[in-house]
Amino acid sequence: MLPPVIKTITVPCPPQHAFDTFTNDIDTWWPKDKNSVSAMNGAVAQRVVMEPKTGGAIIETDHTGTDLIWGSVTEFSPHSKLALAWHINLEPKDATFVEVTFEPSSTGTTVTLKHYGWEAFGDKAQDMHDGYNAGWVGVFETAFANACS
Amino acid sequence: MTYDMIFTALADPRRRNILQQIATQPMSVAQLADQHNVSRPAISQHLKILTDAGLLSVTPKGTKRIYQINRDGLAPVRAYIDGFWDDALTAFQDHIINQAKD
Repeated sequence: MLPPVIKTITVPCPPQHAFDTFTNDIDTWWPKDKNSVSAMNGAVAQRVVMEPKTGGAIIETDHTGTDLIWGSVTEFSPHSKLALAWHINLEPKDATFVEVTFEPSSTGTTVTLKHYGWEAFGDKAQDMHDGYNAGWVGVFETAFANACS
Repeated sequence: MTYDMIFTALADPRRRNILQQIATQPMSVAQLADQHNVSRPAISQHLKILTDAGLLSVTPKGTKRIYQINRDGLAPVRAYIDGFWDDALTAFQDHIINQAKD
C-alpha cells in the first residue's frame, strides 16, 4: 500500500489569511508554469481558479484558453480545512484525495497537505459488484509494499 | 510521461486483473490468454501497456516470455506527486512571505 504524501509548511500570517490566499487567491501564487496541464505541454496556464464552496470546481484555463477541471472541493471549512477530489489530467472517476488543514502556530499558520487514496484505482462500482475491489487493494499491499519504503 | 502512462495502464479493469494475477505469480502470455479466455494478441497488447508503464518486467525463458511485477513500478507516481506539492506549497509560502514584507 502506498503511503499518503504529507507536506507541512509554516507561513507567517493568521489562518484566515492563509486559507483565503490558498483558495480565493490561488491564481496569484500557484506555479502555473510548472504545475498545470499546460506545463505538461511545455506552456504556461493562463489562470487557475478555485470556486470557494463545497462542490466547487478547481479550473485551469490553459494556454489555448480552454477550461480544464482539476478536481472538486469536497469540504470548504474556512479557515481551518479544505478537502479536494483531485484528478488533474485524469477522469473524475480516477480521483485521489487531497486534504489541507490550517492551524494557528506561534509564528503564524501551520499548513498540512495530505494526498491519499491511491487504492481508489480499484474503487469502481463495477469492480465492487463482482467482489474484485478487495483484490486490487491487495495488489498494492502485497506487490508494491516496498516500492516507496 | 511515466506518470500518465501508469494511470492509463491502471484505468482498465482487465489490465488491473492481469496485474493482480501476475502479482501472485509470474506468467506467460499463453497462460494469461487461457485464463482470461481472450486472444493472445489482445493479452499481449495489455501486457505491452503495463510493461511500457513500468509496472511489469519481462524475462525470456526458452521460447516463452514470462511477465512479472516490477516492484518499483509505482514509485514514479509518488515521486511525481511529492515534487508537485513541494513546488506548489513553496510557491504559496513565498507568496505569503513576500506579502508580509510589503
